[in-house]
Amino acid sequence: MAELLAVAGLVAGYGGGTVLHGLDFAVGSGERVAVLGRNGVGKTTLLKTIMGLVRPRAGVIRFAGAPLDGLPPFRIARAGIAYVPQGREVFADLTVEENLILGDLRAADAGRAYGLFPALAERRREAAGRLSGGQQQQLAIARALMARPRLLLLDEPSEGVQPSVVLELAAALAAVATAEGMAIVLVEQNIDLALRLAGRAVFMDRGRVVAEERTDDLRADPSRLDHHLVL
Amino acid sequence: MHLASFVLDGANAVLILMLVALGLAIVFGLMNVINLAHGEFLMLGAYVVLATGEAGLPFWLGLALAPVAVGVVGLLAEEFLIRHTYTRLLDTILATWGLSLVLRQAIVLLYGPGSHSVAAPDLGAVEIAGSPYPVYRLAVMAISLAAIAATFALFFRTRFGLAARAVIANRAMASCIGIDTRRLDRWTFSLGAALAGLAGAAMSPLISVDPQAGLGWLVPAFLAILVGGLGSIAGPLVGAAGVGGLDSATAALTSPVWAQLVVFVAAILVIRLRPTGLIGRTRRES
Repeated sequence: MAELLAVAGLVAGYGGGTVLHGLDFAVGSGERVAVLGRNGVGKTTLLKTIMGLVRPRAGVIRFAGAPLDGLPPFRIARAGIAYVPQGREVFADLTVEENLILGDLRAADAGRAYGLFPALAERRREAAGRLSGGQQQQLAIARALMARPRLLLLDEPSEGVQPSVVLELAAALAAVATAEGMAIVLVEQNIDLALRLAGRAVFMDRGRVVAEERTDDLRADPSRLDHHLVL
Repeated sequence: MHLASFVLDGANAVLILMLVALGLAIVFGLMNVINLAHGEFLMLGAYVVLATGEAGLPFWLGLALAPVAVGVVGLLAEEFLIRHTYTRLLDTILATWGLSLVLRQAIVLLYGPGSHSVAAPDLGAVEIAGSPYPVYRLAVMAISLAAIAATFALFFRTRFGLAARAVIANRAMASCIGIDTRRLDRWTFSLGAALAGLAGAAMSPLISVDPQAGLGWLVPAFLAILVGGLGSIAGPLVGAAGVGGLDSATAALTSPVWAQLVVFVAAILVIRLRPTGLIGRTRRES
């Protein structure tokens, strides 16, 4: 598997505090990786730093061979990385369709997104803020997929979403990832979703990746999960 | 004076104020920059018409050139000054205030501190409700309306405008989905300057063209934005209608001094009772 994203020795944080302490992390082309760990170990900060929202203080982030660190988020997005943040951050006052077009301003229409989530097509003229939590999550993911990213960063997509909708999201994501060779990095508290979607899980603690497991092994022996998560 | 003239002059003032406030509001909405040099951009627009007139070129060419020239000034100001102050609100105020001083002094050096006048193109007058009214003033209204409509079309009918509205709503997220916020900042600032330049050019035959010409517009434009509401593009239009309309009506009925007083009191009342403006919503932090 060719290496798509390579993070080495990453140090990052906010203001005076450091959250990531020399983190190493890699994702192969088309690979689906879950990032697990307790609250506050730096999972969200890792995604924000890859996306350019947090500036790395040290370390290297390479994507498809080219360095990303220090670039503004829009350059990182255009390099082929899409980001669905925690809390979704859809543009509440804009319509569903406008939100989707913003995902790819050169797209002729939002047909790609409606193909993935037909429920969005029915509400295309409505303000995104009027959608339910689950539909807003669909919209945020569909918006990210509009640009046909090579890597999708997902932060807690199951948060505030009904379990049945979570399953739908997982199925749609898996289908796109498989069809287009898209890699996924999934930060998730919902272990069921993480194991369902990802082939590999990495465990973070205190700003570093401290362990990794194949999700097949974790499903076969869930006690291994507990071992990593209480460490 | 006849009632129709009062109403038309009032409409004239309101439409120009809308143009000025719109430019100010899109710059603030997109970039969180309070542009204290906005009045000077208007003043520069009037001087462009003056300069083209002195060069023997027709008035209408000067009018067409003014927004382009002032837009270029805005582009340069953004590149060399404003962009270095983004995210620091107080610094944008100081930087744009400094810019306004520089622009005013540059004009003093070039044209002296005195007042100039620009001759309005002779379009004659038409009879409106029994009294003659200058056609040029009607043309100014048409130009303002067209520019306002074009700005709205840009923001609500184009992908550029969609991207700009996304940046206004949530700058960080807009950047994360690949919107070039740098390019948008640059062009929006230039557009705001160009709108002020156009307003100044259109008003140049009706005002005293001097280095202080922009000062009288900045405060009403800010009041219009505050009264109308921040964070929406329609807000400044509503605010300008209120501020400009009340000002014109009071000035016509009493005196310009009373008009200022009434406008300020009314603006304070509106802001006190509706802090987010007449049609404003709470701005989301980005």
